[in-house]
Amino acid sequence: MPETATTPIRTGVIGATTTTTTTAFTGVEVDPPLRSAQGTLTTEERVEELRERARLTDKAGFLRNDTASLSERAADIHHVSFSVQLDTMTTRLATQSPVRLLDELGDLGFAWRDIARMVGVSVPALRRWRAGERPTGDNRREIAQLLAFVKIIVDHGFVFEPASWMEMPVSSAIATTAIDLYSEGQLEIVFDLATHNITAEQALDLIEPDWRTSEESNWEVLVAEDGAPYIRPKHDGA
Amino acid sequence: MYKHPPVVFVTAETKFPGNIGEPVPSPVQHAIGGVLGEDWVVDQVQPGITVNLGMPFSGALGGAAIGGGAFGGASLGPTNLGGAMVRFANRDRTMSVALTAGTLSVETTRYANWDDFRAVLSVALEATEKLMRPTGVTRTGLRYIDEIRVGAVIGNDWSEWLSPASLPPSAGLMAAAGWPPETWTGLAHYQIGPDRHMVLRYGPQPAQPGFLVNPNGPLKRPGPLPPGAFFGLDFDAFWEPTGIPIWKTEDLLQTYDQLRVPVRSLFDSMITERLIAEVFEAEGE
Repeated sequence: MPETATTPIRTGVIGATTTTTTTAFTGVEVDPPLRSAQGTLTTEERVEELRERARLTDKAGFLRNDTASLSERAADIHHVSFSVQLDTMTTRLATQSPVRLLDELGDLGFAWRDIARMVGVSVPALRRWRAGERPTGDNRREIAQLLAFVKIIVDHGFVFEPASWMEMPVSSAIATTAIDLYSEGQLEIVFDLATHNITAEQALDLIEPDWRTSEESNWEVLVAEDGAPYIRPKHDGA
Repeated sequence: MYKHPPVVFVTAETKFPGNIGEPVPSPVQHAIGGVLGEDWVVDQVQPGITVNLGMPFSGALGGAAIGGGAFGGASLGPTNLGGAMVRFANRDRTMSVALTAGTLSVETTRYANWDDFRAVLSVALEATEKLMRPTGVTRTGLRYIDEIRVGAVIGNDWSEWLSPASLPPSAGLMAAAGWPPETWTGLAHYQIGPDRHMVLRYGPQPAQPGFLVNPNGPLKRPGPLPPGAFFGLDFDAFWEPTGIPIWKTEDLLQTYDQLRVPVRSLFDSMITERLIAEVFEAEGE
């Protein structure tokens, strides 16, 4: 005999939501006994669930671009989403062999010197790991994090050929590259640049808030012929 | 198996520890195609696909179109899944194998028999075990969706074709009094073993849209879609272990074998001999 056979009320995506029933005797909505919150999903239902997850990150990006008053809050959501995604993906990738992770980074086009910089080690150290020597736990996680980071900026559809993008100066007026920023631990800023949520000037504001006035700054602000301001390294010449 | 079976869709979903939404590792994406063989091709996960894979049940049970989602009332357009799912389909697009970082799904719109379906399931489970190296199993679910179509049904009088257990309470009595049931929906939940359950949703379905599984969906339904109202059945038998047992493909196959048994038993108990003789075993196309 069935445990229950009552009036079903179901909302939202089929299979992706909890089904509730109204008992005939109490009129109180309850979860069906022992019913899992999520049934067996078809592939299409699973695809829709994945899209919903992906939209969470996209949602933050749209808010930031379109709604200035909500920019800060949207940025927080975006960064939290990014941080969680980066952390979980790093953890998963860290289960793979460091050799495989390094090979995948190499296949993506990164120079070994750049990988070494971003991981925070020497090129000979990379060479030893590729030859089979075990990195420390911290270094293993750094390698996984770098690959996770690259996958995220690619998977969000904003960056193609991540190696050459990261080698490129973040602006024609700034010599700093995304590899420089990553190497200095500015992952969120690189992510924001990759997702077009900040300009290169805003990135500098975040890295060196007094760069406009400080004599120590390596940057200077000039005005172009069309009247638009731009910045460039001071050592770049006239 | 009947000559004209009502089953229109079968899916077996196995869940394992993993962050669903993370990209499936590239080496796995490449390797799984090789394991499945040349009869399988990569099936792009297209944005905006609309399927109606659920139970409209007079609107009470959802029937929400899947895909083409919107945010804030305005469509954001296609969403990049970022390699979170890799899906392979056979060449006539009636069967697929889909893998995410935490799920494996094998499904078909051309269900011939359990042995054939199980053979593909076995290959997919073994490939997943080998390539993804799941640390365990968190859930297995087997879902059968049936559309029973009888041209002779007038209104929603299914009494000649379905057993009384599938009809609304006192259907005959109410009809005799001149108050025939117009429609009904059903949900039943059964315990079919330790940590094992089965949920059945059922009820007559209207002629529009006229299907539970969209014939224009990613998987193609063989043959033309018969028009008219029909009776829908959605069986979901599943095992949700309290722990996270080790992934053993052979054990999982046996679990699926066992999950299928009550589905078939319940289905057989819900129909009449006349339905079998005059519809499922009818001569001709």
